[in-house]
Amino acid sequence: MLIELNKELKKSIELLREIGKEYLRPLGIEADRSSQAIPVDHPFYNLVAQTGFMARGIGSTFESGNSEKSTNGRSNNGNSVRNVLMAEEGSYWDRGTLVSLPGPGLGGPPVMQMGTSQQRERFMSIFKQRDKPLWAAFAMTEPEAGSDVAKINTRAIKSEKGWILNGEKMFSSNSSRAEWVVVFATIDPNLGRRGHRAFVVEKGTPGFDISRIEQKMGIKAYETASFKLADCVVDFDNLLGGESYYSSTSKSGFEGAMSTFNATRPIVAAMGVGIARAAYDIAKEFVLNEVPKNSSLRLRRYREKLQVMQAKLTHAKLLCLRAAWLLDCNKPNGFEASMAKLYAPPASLSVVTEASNIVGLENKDKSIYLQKLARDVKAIDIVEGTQQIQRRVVARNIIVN
Amino acid sequence: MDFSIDESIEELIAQVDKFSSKTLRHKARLFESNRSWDQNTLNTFTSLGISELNLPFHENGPSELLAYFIALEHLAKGDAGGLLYADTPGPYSWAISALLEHLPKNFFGDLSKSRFAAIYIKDIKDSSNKVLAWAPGSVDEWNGSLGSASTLIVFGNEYISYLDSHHLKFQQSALDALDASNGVEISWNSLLDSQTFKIDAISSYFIRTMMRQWVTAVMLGVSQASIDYAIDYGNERVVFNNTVTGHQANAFEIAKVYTEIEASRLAYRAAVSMIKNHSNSLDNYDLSQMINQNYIVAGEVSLSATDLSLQLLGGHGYLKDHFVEKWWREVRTLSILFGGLEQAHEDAGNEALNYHDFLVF
Ligand SMILES: Cc1cc2nc3c(=O)[nH]c(=O)nc-3n(C[C@H](O)[C@H](O)[C@H](O)COP(=O)(O)OP(=O)(O)OC[C@H]3O[C@@H](n4cnc5c(N)ncnc54)[C@H](O)[C@@H]3O)c2cc1C
Repeated sequence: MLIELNKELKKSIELLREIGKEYLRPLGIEADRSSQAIPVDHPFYNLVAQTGFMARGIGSTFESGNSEKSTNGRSNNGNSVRNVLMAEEGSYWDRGTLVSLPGPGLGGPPVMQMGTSQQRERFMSIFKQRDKPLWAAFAMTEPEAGSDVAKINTRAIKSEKGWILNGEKMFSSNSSRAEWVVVFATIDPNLGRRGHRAFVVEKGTPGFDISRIEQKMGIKAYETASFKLADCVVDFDNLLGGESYYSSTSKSGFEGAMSTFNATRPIVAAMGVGIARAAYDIAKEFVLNEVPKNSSLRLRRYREKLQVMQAKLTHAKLLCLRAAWLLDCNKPNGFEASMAKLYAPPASLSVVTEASNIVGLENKDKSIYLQKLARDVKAIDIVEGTQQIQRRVVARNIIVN
Repeated sequence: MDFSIDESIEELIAQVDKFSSKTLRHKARLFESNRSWDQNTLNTFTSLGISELNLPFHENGPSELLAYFIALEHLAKGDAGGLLYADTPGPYSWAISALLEHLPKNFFGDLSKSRFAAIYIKDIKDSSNKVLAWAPGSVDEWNGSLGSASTLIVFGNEYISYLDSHHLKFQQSALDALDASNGVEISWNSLLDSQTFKIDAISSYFIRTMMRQWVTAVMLGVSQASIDYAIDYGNERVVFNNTVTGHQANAFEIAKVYTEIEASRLAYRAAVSMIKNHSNSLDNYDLSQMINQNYIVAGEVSLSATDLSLQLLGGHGYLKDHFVEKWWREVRTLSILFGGLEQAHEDAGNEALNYHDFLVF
């Protein structure tokens, strides 16, 4: 086992740190204070677009996941590991701003994994331009179906004009500003997961209407939206993978979504670790610089707490990295991805809580920032499958009967 | 031994519960956007006798101490912030009433007529600009422009101070919760200019212990409201062919937290009965240790209860559409106010070892 980062990756992390300090954190704090997402026309997004970030993503969305190019079992250029490390560092500065950044976001992985080569080119190439910021999004969740995705009720009916979509989606991050959204729908609810299909719905398609922006407790820098699909007609070419994907491989949109999760769960889990590391650093600095040196009992207790907090962060990060590394090796990682996503969010929340208890109200600015971090980190335990859903997956893998 | 609760208290609970869930909860949400309480709600506080509860040992205060705490608990189910607004100085009322005989006559003036708040800071002699505290009441109110004479009582290690609002600077609170307390952050330059009195170490310790009793009741009320709400939601919401609460994994977690809240409630009510029996005794270490421990346990239980509640609503729990996110924030703020859990750990730990040097810290 070797845990070492190459020079290039270290450099990327350094660069992200600079950006984080200058932009991600201040913008995140402002969004939290005002309860307003960072506006689409914010100059920072133009800057991001100009650097070519949309095509590269925090790692490299274009080549992420179960890349078909991986033939020797160890290729994929370490992109998943890279994604995990960059997500952790970016979230250290501000997870909300990080997720708000232009680019394909969560929409990228399903297009890359399920889409035909033409579809990849068509939907992903728009992010290669550097003139203006563009977004994409992912919409699985519905008001009545979150964890239990088999229950999704958005209907897709094939017609002469194309696929007609009807239904309602909720919690779709960045969809209110997206060029396109990957929408999961069912061709027949009685088929359960086998009936799922993934469509790309483009901005401006008649019948596709954002109905509200959710009022979230935290991570306010990006918008999470509900939208309605009312007789929304999409082209046959917008069915991801084309009909052959679902018939020839006996796959469903559900399986496509699940393999997306194997790539994204370690990344999201690592975001929790990044947020909690920020809290840890604040608590450590407080203990070092603000607790009177003669409070020996207090200092001793804090020292113990800090080292337990640090251990939790290390353990969580290793689970994330291992799950990502397996993916980079083109090996199955569903079990490991769920372990990372099971362990990291509650561990991260407990670190933030401890940090908040240590600082108390003695340093007001730190205290208020820690409250923000707590609200931000709580979302990690919900998105990309709740802790309970990860327990289900992990239990199923270890308890055989 | 008698664990029963008087019928009159049961009636009070029913009345307060109705007000909390039907009115207070919703009005507190409105407060978040309007930044003001409507007069009707404030009148209800008065009619329920909440504003009369300032001084529990006061002649005209409630005869039954337990009733006071139970009322707090159930009002907190409505809104902890509103409670702080109506029941100033709430957490300090014990300390004040217990200390009355140790302080110069008229130290507190005619409290029943003036609006005031009390706060606790560690080092009262630290007169730098850094000193900052939080208290309910709007900036206007504190500045006197709403006509109410506002007074701040500052408790600290071995000192107690009585400040007119002209000594103070105010700013709208940036705390993460308790919005409807209309809280202000208060800072001052020179505390020692004002009327400051030295008090003995035991009194000072007593103050910070007693206010924890108040916070304990409030945190448990919030937690109970939160878990009850999540159960109601989870009884309806179906995931994987079963209700959320019907999944044994969730039912077990709920049962655990529910029981922990119940145990915590019994313990703090037992402390109330101890207070009743030894009312003004300042050196009753059994009592203060119990109160500190109750506060720590209630804080930890409340953090996990409100977290489980939010989690049981999934993504919906993360939205302002439901109250669980508010209760989640509330408990996190309550558990760092007034010295927070860390200091309580220190105090309770010292007491457990009979290490009484802690009185001067
Ligand atoms: C900030 C944010 C951003 C999001 N972004 C997106 C996005 O971009 N795209 C998207 O599609 N979705 C998104 N989501 C939605 C998210 O994926 C769902 O909220 C999540 O999957 C949970 O679904 P739910 O909210 O419907 O909760 P429910 O599924 O209703 O769950 C309720 C409770 O039941 C528990 N539960 C479920 N199944 C079981 C079981 N078998 N046993 C025991 N307990 C169980 C859950 O853990 C939870 O505690 C986002 C959510 C948030 C909060």
